[in-house]
Amino acid sequence: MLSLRLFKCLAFVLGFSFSSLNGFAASIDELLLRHQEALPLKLSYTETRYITFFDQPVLTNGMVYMTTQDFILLQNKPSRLLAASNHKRIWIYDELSQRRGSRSASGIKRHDPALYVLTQAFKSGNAKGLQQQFHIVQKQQEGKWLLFLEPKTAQAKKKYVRFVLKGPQGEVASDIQIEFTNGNKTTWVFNKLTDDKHLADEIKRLFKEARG
Amino acid sequence: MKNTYTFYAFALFSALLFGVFTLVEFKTDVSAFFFRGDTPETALLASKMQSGELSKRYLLLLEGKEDSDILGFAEELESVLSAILGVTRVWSLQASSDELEAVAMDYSNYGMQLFSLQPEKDVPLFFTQASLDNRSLRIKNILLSQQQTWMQPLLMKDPFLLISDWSSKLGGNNFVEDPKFIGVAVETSISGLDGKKQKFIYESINQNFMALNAEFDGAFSLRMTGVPVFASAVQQQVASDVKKVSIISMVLMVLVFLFIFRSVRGLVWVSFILLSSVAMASIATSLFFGYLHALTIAIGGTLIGVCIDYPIHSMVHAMAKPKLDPASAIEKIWPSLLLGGVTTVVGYLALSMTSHPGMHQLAVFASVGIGTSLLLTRFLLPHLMRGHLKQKDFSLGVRPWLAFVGKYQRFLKRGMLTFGAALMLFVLPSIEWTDDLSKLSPELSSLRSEDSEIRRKLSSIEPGRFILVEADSFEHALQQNEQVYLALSRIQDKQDLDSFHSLYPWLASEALQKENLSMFAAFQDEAHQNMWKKALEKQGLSVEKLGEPHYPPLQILTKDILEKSSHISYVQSQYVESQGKSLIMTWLGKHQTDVVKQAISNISSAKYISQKGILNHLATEYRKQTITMFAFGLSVIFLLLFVRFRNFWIAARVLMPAVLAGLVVLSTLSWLGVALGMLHLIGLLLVVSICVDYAIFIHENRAGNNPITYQAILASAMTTVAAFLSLGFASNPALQALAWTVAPGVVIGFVLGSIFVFQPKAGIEEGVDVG
Repeated sequence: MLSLRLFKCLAFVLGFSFSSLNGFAASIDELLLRHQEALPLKLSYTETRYITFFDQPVLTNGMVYMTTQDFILLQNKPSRLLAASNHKRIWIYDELSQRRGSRSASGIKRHDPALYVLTQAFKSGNAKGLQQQFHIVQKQQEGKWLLFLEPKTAQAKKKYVRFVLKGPQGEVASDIQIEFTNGNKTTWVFNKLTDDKHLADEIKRLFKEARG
Repeated sequence: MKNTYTFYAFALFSALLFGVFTLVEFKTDVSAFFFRGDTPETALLASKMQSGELSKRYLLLLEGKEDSDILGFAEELESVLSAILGVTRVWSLQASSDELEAVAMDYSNYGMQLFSLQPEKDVPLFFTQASLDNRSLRIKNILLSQQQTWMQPLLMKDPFLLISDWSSKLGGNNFVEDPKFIGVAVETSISGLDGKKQKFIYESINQNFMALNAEFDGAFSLRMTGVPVFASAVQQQVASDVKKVSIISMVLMVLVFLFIFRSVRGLVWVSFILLSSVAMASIATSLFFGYLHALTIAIGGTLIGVCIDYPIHSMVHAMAKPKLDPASAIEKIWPSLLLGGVTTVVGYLALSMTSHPGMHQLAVFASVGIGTSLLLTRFLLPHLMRGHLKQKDFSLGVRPWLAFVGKYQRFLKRGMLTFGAALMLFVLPSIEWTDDLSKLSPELSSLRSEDSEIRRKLSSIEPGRFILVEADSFEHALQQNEQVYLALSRIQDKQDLDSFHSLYPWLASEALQKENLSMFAAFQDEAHQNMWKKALEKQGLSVEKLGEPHYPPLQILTKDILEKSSHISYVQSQYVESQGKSLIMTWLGKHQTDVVKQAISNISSAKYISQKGILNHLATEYRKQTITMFAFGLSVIFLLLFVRFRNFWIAARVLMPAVLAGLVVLSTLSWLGVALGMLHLIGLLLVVSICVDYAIFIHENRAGNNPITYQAILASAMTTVAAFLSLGFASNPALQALAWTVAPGVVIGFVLGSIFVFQPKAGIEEGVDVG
């Protein structure tokens, strides 16, 4: 027979676990919801790439456009590169090599599921896929929220060490850091732009350019 | 007593039937019947067609709606198709980026060994400052590109990224990022020409595709080609032909038989002899060769036209004197039957002296079939007929015909001889033979256009045309193949060749690999290392990590290593080693034949091969041999007739109707614009065999009664013509060729036999009937 004391202990542990889980889930959902509500977004970014075979970090910069349906990354420097995706497909245009290519969303999901669910989570506000792919740790530090995502699956572990997302309290992410297993690291710093009057037209134009 | 012989007949037939089911090994591979190579290239082609890779594969073209995940679908389809019984391997023609990475990673161990085909020229050029500057820029761009993730580990093994110099040559356009359509190859363990077995695989591929596609909401379409697809279509067409021809021939034969003999019992006797002869021939041929080809039965089966003559002829003669023992009637005509049989067998044996593998089987099949028919006619038929003969008139109108021939024989003979001479002089030399085997294939134009469209989408390779290098050792063949590569590169630069797929750089000769290594070793000194460091610094690349290239222990890439790797699938159809010879093939894209031939003309062991050209060359050789052997066979038949009759003119007169009948048929078909080929020659042999028999029967007239002899011949001619006319209803051009050669040939042979061999002096008696 289970003693009353043990039962209380178990109840406490279970209760704590559930409340922790609920609290954690709510905060992730809240974070994702915050990002979803902020859409559409137009951001400028600076990327710092630490590549093993370079003596110095390589800097790139450009723009990011994000709606509930679409995601566009436009790299302006050191060379122009455009990646435009909707919920079905991604088109890439590399101006330097004059190469154009496309890939289905489910192809990316199969090829790089970790990255796929990460982008989907922020567009849809749904944390379920994220929790399947990553061990999630959330922290607060110097008035900023931090989200540590460490891959769970062997496929993702082969490529990524971790993703770290950072942002001011109550705001969307301003920094993303990705650490790769091959020793490379990249850091993205975003700046939200308010000039989004012609966002829809701009997105349309960029899609057209990427698709060719 | 009568019942005893009926029992014997039944027992024999049952035993033969049992023998067919238990002893006969059937083969339906068309190439095994038609091809046997005498030269290395024809041997290669024949072996590849019979065993092989060229014929055992299906080529699937998957097309998806926009935004569909075609790579994912193809991956799942590959997995389900692999589980089909008889499928040995399934792979995507457009290698995925994962596969490309795997190839690059493995081949990065051989970056230096496979670097150049002309190391003495290219390695010194590589170690100039400008070249090293370009290389470091290329490495920088790669590290900043999308490819960086998987190219970076390569740099650890191949710091100069030498693999990037030749990796594009490994497969070029076969590596596609995310295509709208995708090619999947399905290899089976069964010869592609074995239509019956391939039909199951063909249907299974379709069923599996439909089931999987339903799970993907029908987003994909499937198109299929390959030798097995054609074989399955031919199989269906042949099955339909067999059904159609069987029904028509059975109805025609029964009608003709009932019209002539008005006896179902007689039909059963003749059918028993025919079926027993075919069964015995099948068993003997299978035991002799280890298998029996379906085409041997199909073409050999037409020997019923010959075999049926003996029992019918015997029946008519026995009916002439129904009160006498049928055995004595048959005994009387036996020498004529035997001579007829021997002359026919001689014709087939002569054809077996060609190198055509099918003819060898056909000769054994025909000899045993004819022998069995003769023996059963001589020793069993009389006992079956005994007590069943009734008298009934069936003149078949031969008397007015004989009266007409008797009256005008001299005039008709001269007229026909003149006509024959005119044909010999004016038509025969202008007969055009076609050796295009595809014209003997069933009409499959829709499949052919589908095939060319699928291949055009999936590959830049021109099917059936390639360069073949032949050498005594694999190393020597590789060295020669490298010379071919250089020659083709030169004409590709001049845009006379779109593309080509060579075994190099998947594999290079040991000599070349060693030369590359020794050239690189000569330049790995401090001065050149400093030049490289300078180049890296210019691009901001890490001198510490890339400045002192340390290649892993260098190993020569051998055939064994390649064959043990998964990459062998990309090139395994490009080389063959057999009978002490090594053959390497280079597939060609769109090209100008003359330019390619010229480019490789100074490489002694390289040849430009056109598969269709080889097949047609083989067909031409077979046809020429067949004509020669046909003439030889005619000479032997003439000799036999001369020995039998001991008179040159009689022998010539007996042979004349058969030869003239064949000549008239060939000339008429040629005049009508029919493309004449091997099957017409086989038909011609049948015509001669049958018509020589008729002429012997007419000349010997062993009943001493011309109308009876003619009734017997006419009866057997009618059944023969009925059997062959029914073949004319088939849609298969090969069967049609036989039908339209033999049916008119037999009619003409009968008419000419009357004109040339008929002797009006013999007496006339009443005809009889069996009941």
